[in-house]
Amino acid sequence: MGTRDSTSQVQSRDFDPIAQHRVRLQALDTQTLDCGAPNKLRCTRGSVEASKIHRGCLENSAEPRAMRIAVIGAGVIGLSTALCIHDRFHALVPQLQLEVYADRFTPHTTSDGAAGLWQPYLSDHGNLQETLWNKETFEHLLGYLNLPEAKEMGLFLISGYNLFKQPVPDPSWKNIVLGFRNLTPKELELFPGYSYGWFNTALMLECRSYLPWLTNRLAQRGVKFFHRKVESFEEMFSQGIDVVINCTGIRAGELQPDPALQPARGQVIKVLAPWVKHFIITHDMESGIYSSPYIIPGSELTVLGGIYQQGNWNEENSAQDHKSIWERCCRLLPTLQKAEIVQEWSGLRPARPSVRLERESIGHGRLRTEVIHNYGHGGFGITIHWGCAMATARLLGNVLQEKQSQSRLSAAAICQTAEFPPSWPRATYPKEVLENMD
Amino acid sequence: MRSYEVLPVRTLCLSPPVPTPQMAAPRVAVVGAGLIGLSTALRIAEVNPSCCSITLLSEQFSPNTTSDVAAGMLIPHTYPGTPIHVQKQWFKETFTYLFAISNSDEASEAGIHLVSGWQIFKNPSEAEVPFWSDIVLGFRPMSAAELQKFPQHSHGQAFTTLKCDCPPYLLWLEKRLKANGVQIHTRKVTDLWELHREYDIVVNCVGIGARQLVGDQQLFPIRGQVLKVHAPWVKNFIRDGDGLTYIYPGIDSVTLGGTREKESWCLSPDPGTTKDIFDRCCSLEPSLQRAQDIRVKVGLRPSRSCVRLQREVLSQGGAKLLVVHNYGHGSGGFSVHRGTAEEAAHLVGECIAVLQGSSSKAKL
Repeated sequence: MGTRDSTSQVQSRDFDPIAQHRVRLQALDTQTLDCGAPNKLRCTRGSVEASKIHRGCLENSAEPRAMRIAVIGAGVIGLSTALCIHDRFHALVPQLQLEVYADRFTPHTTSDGAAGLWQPYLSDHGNLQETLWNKETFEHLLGYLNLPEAKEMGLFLISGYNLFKQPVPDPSWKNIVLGFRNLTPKELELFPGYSYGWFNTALMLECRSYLPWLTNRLAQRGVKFFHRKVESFEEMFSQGIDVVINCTGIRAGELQPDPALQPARGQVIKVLAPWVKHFIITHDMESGIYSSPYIIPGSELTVLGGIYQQGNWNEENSAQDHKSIWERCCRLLPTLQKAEIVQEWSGLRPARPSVRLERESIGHGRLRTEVIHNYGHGGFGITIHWGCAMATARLLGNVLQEKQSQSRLSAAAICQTAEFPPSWPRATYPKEVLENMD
Repeated sequence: MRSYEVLPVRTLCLSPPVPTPQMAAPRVAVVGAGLIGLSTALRIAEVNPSCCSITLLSEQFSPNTTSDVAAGMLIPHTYPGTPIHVQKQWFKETFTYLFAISNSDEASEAGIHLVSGWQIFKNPSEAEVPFWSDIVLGFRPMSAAELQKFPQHSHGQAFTTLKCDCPPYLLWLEKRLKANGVQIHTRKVTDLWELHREYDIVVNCVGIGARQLVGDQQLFPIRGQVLKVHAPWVKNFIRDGDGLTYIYPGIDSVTLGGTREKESWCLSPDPGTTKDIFDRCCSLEPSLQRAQDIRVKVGLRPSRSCVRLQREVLSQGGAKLLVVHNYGHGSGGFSVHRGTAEEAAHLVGECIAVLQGSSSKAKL
């Protein structure tokens, strides 16, 4: 019975194990074992004996067949999605095997270059789903704030200013952040040229620390990492991957064309200015988000920025952008003139009208496989990452459930039609089954 | 020696005295090079630009003054012996002065920066609105969501204020003094009278040293031990309303405090206290457990029911020495230093007028 290369008439991957399962149940008293399958298409997991049998049946040995999930991309989206999936499913699906594939790991991902401030765009354009994901992320991170390991995560509270040249409506996130209020006239004296603004306390999540923290957690749980560029979804499936989670950010188009996904190039100067304790983000309602100067103090360096160039794929630093950032930020905060410049970096925000977070079935019939997309987070990936990770995990849950039902259905269908010997050599039964036999 | 005190009369508009041709420019000595001495000397130089020579004398300079131990937060202490409106005026002048510096390109050199945070209370009765709430920025009660970070506290106040990092601020003041022609000498003064030949006016800014120097029994130390740690991810201040536990992020270090030990003159760090301070601060900000490079410092707050801001005349056998006292700021030195320096400079102006009056009388 059981080896993989035994002659079976049907070549389905699921044939052997489920067929064995049915045979064993016929040989045993199914009532005491309360397994439920094959007639109910479901194995009651509550029963220990049932799950033993179930596990034992899935392979021709005591080892269950792996359910291989591959996450492509190791930025904040890929790694957090992988961790969320592992958290949610490793106990429920013991055969889950999670793998992360990427050609760039920290500190070379887009996430690493970002300052790491939790702050959504000014308006959610009615996309309440994204507002909810932002909220879930903030609250998830708040839960870690009072633990000493917040430091290892690169997580800390920070207060600061959003500045405008005219009054604007309150943002969708005003009740998510802490202590949101309008600026007083005296505070506005600090920022000539700006007549309106907000003050609030938010979070910083520095990916130079967060990504290694996520990586360590994943590695501790036995998640495997593969440093290579994945050229196609088919490549993954042909290697036996069951589900692909597509967290490829700006380069998602290389796996599947997506005209809605465009680079929004940013450039930042990182300086030593430890006297700056607040973030300062200016807004120019005509130029658009992040095209106006901003200053964000990190745990070691302060990030100066204000570049947002749609359609620009260039990852090289531009001297003109440097000059623009430096002059505008020094005008905003004159004390920066004394700051030492330490680093310069450019990156491509994976901009999209909305985040692509959805399932897609690739292929047909028995070769049908699933991809779950989770990309296109623009300049708010860190802000929204955990909400999206949870939504992706929910989609994966649906996929796993369907796969389970599918395998019952197809196996049952197969069992009813296939011919197999009515009695199998006893010695080939798994130990647990033998123990329960007469 | 006879001495008598002259009560200060603060006029609204005192123009700087013009030196009369007969009289040599009065010689002013400021004793003490902590925050009060340096800021007072600077204010005297600014208010009386050409009419006197100013020399600063001190045994200790930054980084070895009491001021260097303090975090330098602009959160006022209340002096029981001074009317509230006067304290408020001092704080307002100080805040306005430093606010302008923090907004200029000298801010980083001067060590002045804005910092936001929370003052938290276990008892609602302690959470009254203080007299200075409309001078700091954005003062308001903390929201329920903000208070969740502090499960043992039920109320709190959020605001933005200024911090003066020392040594940078003191060194910046010294630089400004030199630019204003003030001479600076290291010298231990054991008796104010010893200065009567070289100087006409002495400004006494010796802080806790006044107990010995002028025998002021109303002055007493309140010992404070603090830790200065490397924890650059801490961007907000946290202060327990009881004034004993606080976390103040500075430019290069975070000050963790503290203690308030009345009448203790001990300048040596106590290891048990160090652990206690660390534990108390970690309970408010658990990430501090990852703080590095812990240094322990001790300072003696020069405490008094009110700041001694008054003139005095010392005389012996016909010789006179005019004295202006400016000491006894306790926990509140940084919060009011510019205001008390302003008042001391006025008193010096009065002394100069007295000297000029005497000299014209002498001519008759």
